[in-house]
Amino acid sequence: MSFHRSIRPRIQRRTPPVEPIGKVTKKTPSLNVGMPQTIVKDHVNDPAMKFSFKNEADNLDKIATKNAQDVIDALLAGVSGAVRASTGNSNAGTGQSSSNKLAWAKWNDELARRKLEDEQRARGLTGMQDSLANGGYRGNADELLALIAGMDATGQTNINSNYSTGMSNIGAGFDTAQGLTNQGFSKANQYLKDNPNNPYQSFQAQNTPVQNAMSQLLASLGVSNDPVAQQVQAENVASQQSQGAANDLTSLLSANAQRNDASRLSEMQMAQQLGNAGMSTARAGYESNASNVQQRALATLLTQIQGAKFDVEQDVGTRKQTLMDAIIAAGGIIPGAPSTPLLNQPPTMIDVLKRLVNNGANGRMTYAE
Amino acid sequence: MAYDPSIYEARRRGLTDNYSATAAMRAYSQFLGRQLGQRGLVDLNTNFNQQAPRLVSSYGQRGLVGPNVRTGAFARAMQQFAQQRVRQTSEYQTGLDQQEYGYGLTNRQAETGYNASLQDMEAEKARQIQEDAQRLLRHRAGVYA
Repeated sequence: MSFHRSIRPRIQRRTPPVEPIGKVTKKTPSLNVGMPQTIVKDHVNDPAMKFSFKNEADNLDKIATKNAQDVIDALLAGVSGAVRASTGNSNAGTGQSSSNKLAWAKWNDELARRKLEDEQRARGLTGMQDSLANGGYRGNADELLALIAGMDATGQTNINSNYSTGMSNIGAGFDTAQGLTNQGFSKANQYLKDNPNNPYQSFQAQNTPVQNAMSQLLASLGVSNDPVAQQVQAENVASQQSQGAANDLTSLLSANAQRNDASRLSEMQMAQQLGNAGMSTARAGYESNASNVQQRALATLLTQIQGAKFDVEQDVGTRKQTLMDAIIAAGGIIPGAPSTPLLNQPPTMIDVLKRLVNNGANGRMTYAE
Repeated sequence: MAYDPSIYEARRRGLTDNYSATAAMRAYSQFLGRQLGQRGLVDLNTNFNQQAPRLVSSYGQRGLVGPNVRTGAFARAMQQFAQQRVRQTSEYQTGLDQQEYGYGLTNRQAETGYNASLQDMEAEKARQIQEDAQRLLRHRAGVYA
């Protein structure tokens, strides 16, 4: 963009007088092409500058007009000299023409350098904006998150596998233990049933009755046997009573033995039930322990996984914030955020002139305001 | 202690051997007692059989008994002699019966003890198996025990 192309159209377009606003009533100095007046009025009419002009219109008009007058006079003097030199006007001095050429060359170099810098800055800014927009700032965060997710899945699989193995072992151990217990008590019960401990069951006291061994002798002597027979009967009754007492004792011992057998059978059944109940309780406890271990392991894994994810996301957030700060520092806008038009557009020559004018006003107003 | 069938078999042999030995001793003792008792019974009957003729002869020498002679004194004496024999024989025989009952009772008490020892051992085996089974379950539970 050359100086002539950027200045001339604006000069021609802004040649018609523009009504000033506010208290700007001071007549501007006359120039050959009326630039100071149009520039000042351009500032006044620029929507981006209205706010400042409304507040400082008087001071700006006094200070900025004078400074702009001096600067633009110098610039246009060089331009006029160059024009006169090119048209053969002898009034233009040779030294002044060389100086103007040098200034013009420096100006063009400055513009080219600035353009190059602007392009580089624009490319860098675009790159940062693209990185911010497409998530490039995340780097290998997604890969790390995928690895963490894989660790999470593997960890859960291992924990659940250990739990399943433990539960399977507990169940198999319980089945085996219960089978052995039932088998052992079944054998014992069968032995008790097959071998009742009651030796008194068929035990009876003997009773040998007495007889009258002298009955024939007494009869041959003509002596009556009646008193002897009565004695025999009495003795046999007495021995039968003795036998009865012994059998009563035997019956008592036999009944006691039967009760002992029944008690022992009940004892075995109770022991079997107690053993099975104990194993069931132990199994429930072991399974509960397995569940608790599994839950604790899963909770620990979850905490570790969440911590790892948090670290990755925190790093991503830090990088994003750093990138946003860099974009802002480079004068760019955050994709998706409200933008200020002047920040997105490269400065025009008029903008440069405005900046020069404002710099002349002790920096109280910049073109960005 | 883990379940070891050989230990129980050794205990079973010990119980059986002890029971068999004591039972043999009791059987021999019973045999001797029965033999001695039978000898005493035989002696008792022999003694009464030998005294009976002398008793009749003594009453005959006093003329209280003889051909066509029958006195009441002789009859009462013979009846009392016969009653005494019955009583003594009965008491002796009852004594033998009670002795036999005592031997039988002792044998059955020993058998009861022997059987009870075997039953206790079987119950102990079942309990030991149950304890070992529970220990096995604990081992299978591993770290969850």
